[in-house]
Amino acid sequence: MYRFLTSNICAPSIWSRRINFPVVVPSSSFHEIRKNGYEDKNRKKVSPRQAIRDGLKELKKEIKNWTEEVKEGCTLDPIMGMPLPGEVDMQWCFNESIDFDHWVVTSDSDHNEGYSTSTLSVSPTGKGLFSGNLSTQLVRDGKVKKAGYCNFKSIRPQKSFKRDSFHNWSGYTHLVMRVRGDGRSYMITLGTAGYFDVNWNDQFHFALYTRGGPHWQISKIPFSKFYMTSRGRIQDMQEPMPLNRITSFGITASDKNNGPFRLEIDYVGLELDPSHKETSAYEQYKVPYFYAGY
Amino acid sequence: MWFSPSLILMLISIMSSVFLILSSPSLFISWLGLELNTLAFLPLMLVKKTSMSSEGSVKYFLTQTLASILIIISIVMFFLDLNNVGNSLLLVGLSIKLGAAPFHSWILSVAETLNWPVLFILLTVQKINPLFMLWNFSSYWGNVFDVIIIMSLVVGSLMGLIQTSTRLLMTFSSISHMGWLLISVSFDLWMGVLYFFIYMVVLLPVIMIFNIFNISYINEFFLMNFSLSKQILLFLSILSLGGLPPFLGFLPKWLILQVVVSMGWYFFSLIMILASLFTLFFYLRMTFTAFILGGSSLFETKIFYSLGNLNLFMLSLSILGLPLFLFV
Repeated sequence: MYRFLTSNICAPSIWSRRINFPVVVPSSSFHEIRKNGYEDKNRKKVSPRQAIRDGLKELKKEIKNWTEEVKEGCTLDPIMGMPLPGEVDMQWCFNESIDFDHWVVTSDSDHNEGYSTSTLSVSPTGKGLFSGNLSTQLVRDGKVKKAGYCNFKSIRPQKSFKRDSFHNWSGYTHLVMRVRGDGRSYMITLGTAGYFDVNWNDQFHFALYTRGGPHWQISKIPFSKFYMTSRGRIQDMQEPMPLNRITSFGITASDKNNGPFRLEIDYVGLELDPSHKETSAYEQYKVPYFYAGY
Repeated sequence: MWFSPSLILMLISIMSSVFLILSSPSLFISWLGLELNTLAFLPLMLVKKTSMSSEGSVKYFLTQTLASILIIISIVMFFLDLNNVGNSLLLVGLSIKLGAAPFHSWILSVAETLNWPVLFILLTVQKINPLFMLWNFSSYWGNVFDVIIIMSLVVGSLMGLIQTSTRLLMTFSSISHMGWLLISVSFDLWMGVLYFFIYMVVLLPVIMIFNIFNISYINEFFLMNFSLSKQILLFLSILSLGGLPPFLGFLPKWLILQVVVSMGWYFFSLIMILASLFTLFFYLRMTFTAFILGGSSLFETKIFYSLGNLNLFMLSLSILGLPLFLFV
């Protein structure tokens, strides 16, 4: 009865609003609908028996991960994990032993929405290399109005039993990156998906300006300078970044200049600078009482 | 919204809900007071309009509503003469309202999203109503109540050992204190009132100082630029919160422990003493971290704050107030 109502009565109103995901989630679904991104059309349908068999194969590994987590929780002294002022704690080090399974590289050509291409590989100097070709040429399908982006981002950290977790960067004030670019501007994106679906697409952005040339540069960007967006739209009400709930780190090349791009990355790290007291660089004025929305 | 008419209305509503429950003739009116309390507290959580505070307020609302539903169902059970079921549901509902273990997960995720003054209200004023209702029904519960007390003591003390966020540390210490409060309430109301007021008096100056200097993590203590002699007062007050003699925080624990041992509840007293040792350890760790990391001056501090008179008075009361036992 419920399925009949949702599929036949609610569905037409969903189509008229051009929403591609089911607004009324079927009660039999276990996985939550992501509400963003593209649908995987090549996804194979697995029978429940096969799904149970696949899950049992991973059970031993997940139990081992869980016991390690419990041991770490009991033996770890949290004081040792606290950031010390002036030190750069490396989060990701790009070298010849990069695990490419931890990074997702996308561009607009993946879903036939453009002609840009990008790869994440190891550079001749043994560092990480994000390179490709940016093209703002539109695909002639009548739907695409803008094109030209390439992105790579980290996958969301997970605890045992596939539970989503966060990067806890609390206590740090700056993001430090040692890069060697080609003079182009890139966009650093920090995902901060919240608990409720309204906040699943919240991200914080800031530009990474590169010099080009043979010398490496160390970019030290305070977290207070990052501005909040949701689904790509800059929000009116800005807020400090929730550093204890970072879900992903990514870099995007989309500066509307056609041609090849090349960004070498040595490491991405975090630093605590005690003299930096700013929490958010935006929207610092105070509005009088009873202003709408504030 | 700070100090706006709306805020004053909410604070008056919270106080009204406390008086409503203290003077209520029936369980239904008490439930009304609990609902008013939840309703009035939500705008306080949303003073700072960030996504984190919105998330915390929705989580708070959902858990409190669930607890209220359980209380209403328990009222219906009492009406239908099913007293055992009603008592169990009432106990679970009130424990959720209090944030007592094993129903404490919501208070941790909500506490991280709050600013310090609102967190202080959540950890103190919001506990008055459920505690008073628990005292009214304390003679009807048996082993389940004991399990909740023991779990609160153990969870509050052990889980606080792996925290570095000061908000979570205060919340876990509140859960541990909740265990002590529940024991005191099951003996005598005045013992619970005394414990509660001493807990408020000792906690308030600590939270006021954390608010002034915006301390969120224990490695930020060296950023507090006020005179070292007064910083020592702050850390002695934190140790008083941990129940270390000869400070004021030791007095209520001493009284409750004396009653528990005289009643012959040796297992309880053992758990209480062990739990208080663990809580004292993480308070000591806060103190040591501050003094070890604050030894070197990393930058020149040209601005030197001085604590207000109220802060100093409350700090000195929490450190020197133990002779109050003469009046108990």
